[in-house]
Amino acid sequence: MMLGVRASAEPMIHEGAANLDLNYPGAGARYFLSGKTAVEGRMQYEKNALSAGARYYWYPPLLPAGSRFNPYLGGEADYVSFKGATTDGSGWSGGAFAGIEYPVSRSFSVQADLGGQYFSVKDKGSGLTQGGLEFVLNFGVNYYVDVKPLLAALNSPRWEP
Amino acid sequence: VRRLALAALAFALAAPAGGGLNVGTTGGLKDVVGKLDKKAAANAPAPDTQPPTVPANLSAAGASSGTISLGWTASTDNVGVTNYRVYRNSSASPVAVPTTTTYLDGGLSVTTVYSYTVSACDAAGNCSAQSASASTATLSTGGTPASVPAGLTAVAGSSVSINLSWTASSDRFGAVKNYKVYRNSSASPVAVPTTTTYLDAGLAASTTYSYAVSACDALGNCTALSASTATTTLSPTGSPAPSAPTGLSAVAASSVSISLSWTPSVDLSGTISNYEVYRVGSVVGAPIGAAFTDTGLSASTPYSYTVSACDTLGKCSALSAAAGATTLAAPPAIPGVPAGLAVTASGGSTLSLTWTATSGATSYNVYRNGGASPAASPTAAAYNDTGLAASTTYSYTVSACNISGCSAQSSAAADNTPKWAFVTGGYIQSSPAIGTDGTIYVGSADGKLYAVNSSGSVKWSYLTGSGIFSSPAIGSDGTVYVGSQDASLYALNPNGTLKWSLSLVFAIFSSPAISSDGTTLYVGSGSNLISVSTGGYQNWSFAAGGQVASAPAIAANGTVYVGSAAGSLVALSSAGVQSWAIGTSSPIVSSPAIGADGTVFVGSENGALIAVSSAGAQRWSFSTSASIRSSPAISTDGATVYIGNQNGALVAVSTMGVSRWSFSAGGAVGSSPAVGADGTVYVGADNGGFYAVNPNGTQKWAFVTGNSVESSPAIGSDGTVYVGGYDDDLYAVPGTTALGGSSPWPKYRHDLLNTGFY
Repeated sequence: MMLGVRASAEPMIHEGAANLDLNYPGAGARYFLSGKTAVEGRMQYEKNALSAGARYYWYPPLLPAGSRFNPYLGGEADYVSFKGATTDGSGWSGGAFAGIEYPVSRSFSVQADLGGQYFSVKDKGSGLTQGGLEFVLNFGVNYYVDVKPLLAALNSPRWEP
Repeated sequence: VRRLALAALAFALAAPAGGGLNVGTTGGLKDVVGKLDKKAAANAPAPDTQPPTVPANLSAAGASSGTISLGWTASTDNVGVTNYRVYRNSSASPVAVPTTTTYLDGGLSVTTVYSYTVSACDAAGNCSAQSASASTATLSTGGTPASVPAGLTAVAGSSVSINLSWTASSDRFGAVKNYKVYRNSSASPVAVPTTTTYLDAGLAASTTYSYAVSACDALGNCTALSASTATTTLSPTGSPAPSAPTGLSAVAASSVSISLSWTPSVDLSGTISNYEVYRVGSVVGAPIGAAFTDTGLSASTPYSYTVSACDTLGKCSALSAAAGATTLAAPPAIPGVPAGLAVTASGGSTLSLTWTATSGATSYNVYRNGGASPAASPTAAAYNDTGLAASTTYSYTVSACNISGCSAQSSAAADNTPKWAFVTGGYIQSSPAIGTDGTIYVGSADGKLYAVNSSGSVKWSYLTGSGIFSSPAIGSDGTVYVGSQDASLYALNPNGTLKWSLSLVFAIFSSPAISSDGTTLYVGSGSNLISVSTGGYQNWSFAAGGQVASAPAIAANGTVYVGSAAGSLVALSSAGVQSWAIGTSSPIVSSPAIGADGTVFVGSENGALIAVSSAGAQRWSFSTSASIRSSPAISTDGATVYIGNQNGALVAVSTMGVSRWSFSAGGAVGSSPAVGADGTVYVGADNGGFYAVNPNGTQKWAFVTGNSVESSPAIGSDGTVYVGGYDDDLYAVPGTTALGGSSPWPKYRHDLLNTGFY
């Protein structure tokens, strides 16, 4: 948890920005579609559990101007794979979350969110299934990169007439 | 924000879903998986601790010298038997864990006792107690096959065959080698097939046969006979037709034939009697075997065939699939007869043959001395015959061949290289005479009359006062008569001594003729024809009105014919009285020849060959288109007259005055032709060539002398041809046959003695 760390620079949340993030226990990459929305691909892995999926972020202007906290809401959908004590299988999960991102510098930020996520899994050996709502706390560190110039260059004509 | 975060956290911690707060998605996942594990554990069956029942009825039997076959009754289990454990000789560990209730234990020693027990196990690893033991010994290296052939069936295939089949036997020592089929309890098998089927053929129709089979192994051990079975062959009317021939192949064998072959048909009813070969719907052959050659076809023509098989019962199969082929192209025509065969000596033991290449010929057959088989078969129109005997005459013929065959043989040709050449002191215009002893007499411009042996050596010579252009004539007593440019007529003894000489007024270019009674000579001198007794006295002189260079000819009735520069051919009695004269408007240097019917032939400077009856009537005149100084000769059949002209032609004219052919000698032909018994015509020309011409007018051979040849050839009894040349030489050239045959006048001066008498 890095809440409360003061930032020394403005966060780079705007269209065309992107970040690489390390979360627990995984990593992801996020791209800002606009100054308020972003999509992220992420994967988490720990022993006998794998999650891979995507997140959608919405940064609503909930706080007064000048606040360095950036609250956000979002949704997530994942493919999951597991190996339990006597079971072995896969399934999916999906849910919503709310959190706050706090810039530490122009390139770094920390974030934490809490959400409810529904899991549906199936043991491929016995065919037994299990579903359940779980509350999930995610936190991580983001490193921002402005990829807009790069994208602009990629979109420009490659050959001059 | 702080309040919001704390509220969310409190909610999460108190969430009734039982999930609690998890860090990360995988944390939530593991929580759910834990619940799934619990559910799985709750649903899992109770552990299996009950072992299967003990295997019962364990049996062991020696299967071979190295194997024992085990079998037992299957065990039961509350869950299921998964495998069995086989123990050998109370071993602590199983020797095998089969999943079925049989096991073949291998790698054992021969004739050794082994004991076995078996336990049954389930998937949980629960195993029963071991079964009661069973013991047995491996077999010795011998024994009998394990199973008697079973399931023997017999089905009638036709009126003469029955199809047998049975279930394969198993053999403990390896594969069954073969089976023995017994018919009607026979002592010996009727067949020993290696498969489990057999077609018993050659049976009688509508007859019942019984069969039994035994199986045998490689060691020759055979089982007992199988259960017998019987069936009855079909009646003949129910027999199937033979199978249709297959694999029909058609291959062109020649321009007129196509070879067919096919796979033989199978006939279950009887024996294939023959096949029927169809071409365009019609039977063109009925071969017994599976092959046929269709002949009498057209070249380069496609043909299509089908074949049907017929059996001894008269049934025929359906037609085979069609097959076709196109006959080959027609072979080329047999080449024509080679022409222009010439033979020349090439060293002492080699003769070189050349001939005109024949169109369409791919090779030639060269025949030597009339041999039945060719001496050589060159591909070119030339051949060197080597290893021959020296100084020997060889005769050759040639035929032209190709793939279609060989032509008839060409006219014979022989070596035309002179045997010898005798050199005189002057050119030779005189024509040689040949004595009965073979001595050759000829005059020379050097004034001498030469007597030359047949070997080419001089026998003697007699010098006259001037050149001798007259041709000698030989009397029956051997006296040699010859005229000289010194205007004297000489009579010389056979030994070369002078018998007498008669001095006349004018030079003698004519040649003497001797009357049939041998008492009178006739010779031209100046413009007169002189009659002289063989004693040396002049009888009379006839003024011809022009120079008489022509040599007189004497008919059987004694009439003397002679031409003159006055252009007249005159006929005189032996008394010198003119019977008739016929004019040609041009000088006659040519000497007359007399045909069998008495017709007189003579040439004229105007180019005409005329034929005059013995009564003096001109029968015909044939223009050769150039002046004639040559004298006629008549062919062996008496039907053709040969004569040369100054335009280089040797012409052949029928005795009816019709042209037969003309041979171009390449130079003026003042020489008079001589005809051999084989019809070959020899003649010289001013270009120095001496030619042998076939009766059909083609050149047989030629050789070139050193100068003009105006002398007329003589042909010896051995076929040697003698002729003088302006190069001073008397040549002896190999020929093929003697003079004339049945020709009435084969040469200048008629005969070898130059008598000029018919």
